[in-house]
Amino acid sequence: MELLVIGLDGAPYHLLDDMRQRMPCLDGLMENGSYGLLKSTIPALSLLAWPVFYTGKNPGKIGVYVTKLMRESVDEIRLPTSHDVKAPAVWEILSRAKRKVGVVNVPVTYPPKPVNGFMITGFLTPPSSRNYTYPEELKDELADYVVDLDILTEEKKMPERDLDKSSLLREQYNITEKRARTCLRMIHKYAPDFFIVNFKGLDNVQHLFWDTPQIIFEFYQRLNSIMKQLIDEAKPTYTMVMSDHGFQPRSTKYFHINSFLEREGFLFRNRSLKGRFSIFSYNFGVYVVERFPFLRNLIPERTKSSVAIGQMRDRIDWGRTLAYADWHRGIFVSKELAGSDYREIAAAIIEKMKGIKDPETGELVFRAVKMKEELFSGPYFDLLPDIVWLPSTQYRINANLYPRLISPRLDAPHVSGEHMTDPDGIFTLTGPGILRNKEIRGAQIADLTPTILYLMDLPIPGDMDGRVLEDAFEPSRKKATYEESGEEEEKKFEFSEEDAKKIEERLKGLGYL
Amino acid sequence: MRWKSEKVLVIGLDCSPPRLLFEEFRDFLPNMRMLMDEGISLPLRTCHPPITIPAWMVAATGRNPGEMGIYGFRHRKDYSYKDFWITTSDRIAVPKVWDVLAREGKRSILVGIPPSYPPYEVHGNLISCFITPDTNREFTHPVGLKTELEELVGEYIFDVVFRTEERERLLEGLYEMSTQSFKVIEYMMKEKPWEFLMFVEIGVDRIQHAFWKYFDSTHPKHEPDHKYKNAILDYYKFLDAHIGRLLSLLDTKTTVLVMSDHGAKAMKGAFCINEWLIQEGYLVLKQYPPEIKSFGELEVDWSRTKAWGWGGYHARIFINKKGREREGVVEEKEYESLREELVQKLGKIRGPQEEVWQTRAYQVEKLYPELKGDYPDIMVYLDDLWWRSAGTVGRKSLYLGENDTGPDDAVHDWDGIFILWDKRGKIPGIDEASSFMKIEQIAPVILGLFGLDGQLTGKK
Repeated sequence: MELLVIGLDGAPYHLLDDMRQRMPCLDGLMENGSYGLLKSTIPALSLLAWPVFYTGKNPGKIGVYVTKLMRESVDEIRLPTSHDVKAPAVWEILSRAKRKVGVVNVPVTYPPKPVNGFMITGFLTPPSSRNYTYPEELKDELADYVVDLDILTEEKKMPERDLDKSSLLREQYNITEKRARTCLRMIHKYAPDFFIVNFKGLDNVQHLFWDTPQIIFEFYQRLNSIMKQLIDEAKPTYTMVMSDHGFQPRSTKYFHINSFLEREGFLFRNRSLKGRFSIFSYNFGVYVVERFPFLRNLIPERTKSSVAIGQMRDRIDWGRTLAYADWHRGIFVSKELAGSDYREIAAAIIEKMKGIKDPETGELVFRAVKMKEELFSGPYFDLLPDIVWLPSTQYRINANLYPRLISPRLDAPHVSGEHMTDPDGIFTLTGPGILRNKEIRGAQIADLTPTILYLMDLPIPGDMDGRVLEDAFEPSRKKATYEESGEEEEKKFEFSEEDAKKIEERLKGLGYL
Repeated sequence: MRWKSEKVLVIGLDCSPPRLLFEEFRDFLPNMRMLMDEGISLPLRTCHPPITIPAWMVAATGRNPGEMGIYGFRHRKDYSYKDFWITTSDRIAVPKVWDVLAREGKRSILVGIPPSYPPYEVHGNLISCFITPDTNREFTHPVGLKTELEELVGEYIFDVVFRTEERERLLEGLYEMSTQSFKVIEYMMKEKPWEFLMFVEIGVDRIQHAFWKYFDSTHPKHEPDHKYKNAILDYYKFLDAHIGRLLSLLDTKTTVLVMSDHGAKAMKGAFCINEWLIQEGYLVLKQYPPEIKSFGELEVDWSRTKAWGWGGYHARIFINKKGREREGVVEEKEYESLREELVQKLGKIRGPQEEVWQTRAYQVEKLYPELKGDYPDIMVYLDDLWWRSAGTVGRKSLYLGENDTGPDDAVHDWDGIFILWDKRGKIPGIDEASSFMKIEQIAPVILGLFGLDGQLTGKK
């Protein structure tokens, strides 16, 4: 095997030293290779970070930003599928170069696309799906393999009541074990040149048990022995370990972003009966739950999440609103209303957001606020939010219109850790020509795909946003080659001379020429 | 309430004209007759030019050929005199109706829709079309489907050898091909998940081109009471039986659309466009060939040549423009007046018996609101398509009784067919009183059936 990539989903950079102490295999990879902080996307969510990782491109080129990017109006949210990712994945590029690949449990790979090798799809595979492998028949060999815990596949569906955390943990060990066994078997059977597996269970375990470090570290230790087994079986020339984001304690307060926009005069609420009712019903629900916490268990999960996310369409006066925000993505400035002032308006909002402090603690609510031009480019640029944010650890951004800007957080009380506020993941890179025991700074998640192509001696498409992590290599290694930008798209299929003759004869025969 | 189909089956009958299905053969085809009686049937007005490629793609994308930059099977490469590129699937840069459906999670099965070689990625399954060089190539998406098909039918047949006088063998080959393709379609229909299934049966085009003169008494070469008198009718009966079988496999909420990409009519003959350009002094050869030669083989004196043409069911004329063509001579200021002069003269061409023709010649930009890609300077429909264009030179004559590339009985025509049927009743939103549908409307109609207003915008 040329390259083995192991995904530790949600392994945070701030735990790297602790991990190292408890994971001799990881420690060995670091000792013998380069490593460092891997900056993920904003927001730091798996369903955005993974497509950026595996295409090496920014969301403006891949058409996915948390959700599938669509021209449709507010409230239309579609979780992305592999078909929504409009840029080739690294394993597709490798497949085209006739390298054999194996891909297991990488988020946003469902439905499986053909590769030169095999694929078992990951996070966002519908729980009931039977079509989660390429080739399709592969699943018949997988027997008791499980992609994900059903209840954890849809983010908002986690039941709070009757949540038996310890049985979930047992299940997670079980699934991880099966996944590891499957990987070992597949590596043996297919002998791929490139193999990637992501251990999504780590993310799940951290969500549930962040407040119990002992449990977390035991899980890391289990992953360490799996890593060792994989390396022993695969004997890769190069090994890469990576995570898609970091982890932090659960945020405890809501910041109501649209209420902020309303106060600043950018947003106007819909004063019609329908609008008022929609706003009222959310606020009333919050009022009840805040005062009578036991009542929350009577409300079905689905209702709760749909009320919480809210129907912004009804609540906002679209004829006057210059800017509004949605939950996970950012602020959209109305180009129709703002006209040529659009940039100044966006800049004014950013300026204000940067100064917002929590009156209770004096803490800044946002660690970073960025204008879209700083982060995005490409054909889907227009569909991306104009302003994106990285909140401080304490705050969950809430899109509802609420009387107070900051209020106690109510949703997901069973979760003790989360990662929206922590884009700092990790990576390690080990193998011939890679510097030993060297910490690399400034690595971005989009840099890994070009780095993989470089390690496997392929040119890097010029339109990739990521760059080869050259700091990790001995100076004697040859330089990476980048193709002319856009060359890949421009290259048209042409028949070979012989084929063209054949076709020409046929077309002639058909009277077309 | 809006109409909503759960599935849509599109049956493509390449080259099928209204005259046969709607009129002469109607009573012999119980299944298609049922579709017409219960559903909506209209002539389908095709695009400029009325040619398989681009017509199927106009249907699939709702865009006209100018917007797609696709004007036929062949296009000149960089204004070269001799080099050209063949339209392959990757040249279609705009989204097709199945791309829009894929965004909605709907899966497609696509069989033989020109151009679909090289096979491209779809949400579902794709088998490429008759421009596939041979079966050693990958011709399916996903790649593994090829093996599956070969296990099912043996070697996959993309087309028949058609320009042949051995009509018996041709017939055999046609039936073999079409039997196989229905077997494949039935298999795909049953075994693969789909919401949209579209196939194009190219056999219809082939049989019409080869056997038209035997049934059509108005054909100049009609041979009455020939043993092939019913060859086309028999083939339509065969199609009808297979289509009946497919219909019996459908769920109730499946809408069926039968369509063709253009029509057909009797060929009156071929007109040697380059001989005419030579006569008129626009095309100058270093030496007139002693035998019949294709244009590519001619020794052209480019320094004295102003225009030359390509053959086909329509003629394409190119101007040897200074600064654009390598040895261009026509000055920019002369270009428009030269084209106008040619359009006028072409329009006045008469037939071999001095009969008046209805030739339509156009400066290409008059046909399309937008012009992309490698377009010809003038497009010509000789005697409104009754005469085809021959590019060869060497006969010292303008008129040929038959095609210069082998026997051919039929030419293309403007109107194809459109039939829309659903077990549940008449589908609203189609103007039945109108005298025809336009081929550009096909993609929006299909989206409408699924209850989607989705525009065919964005990238493919």
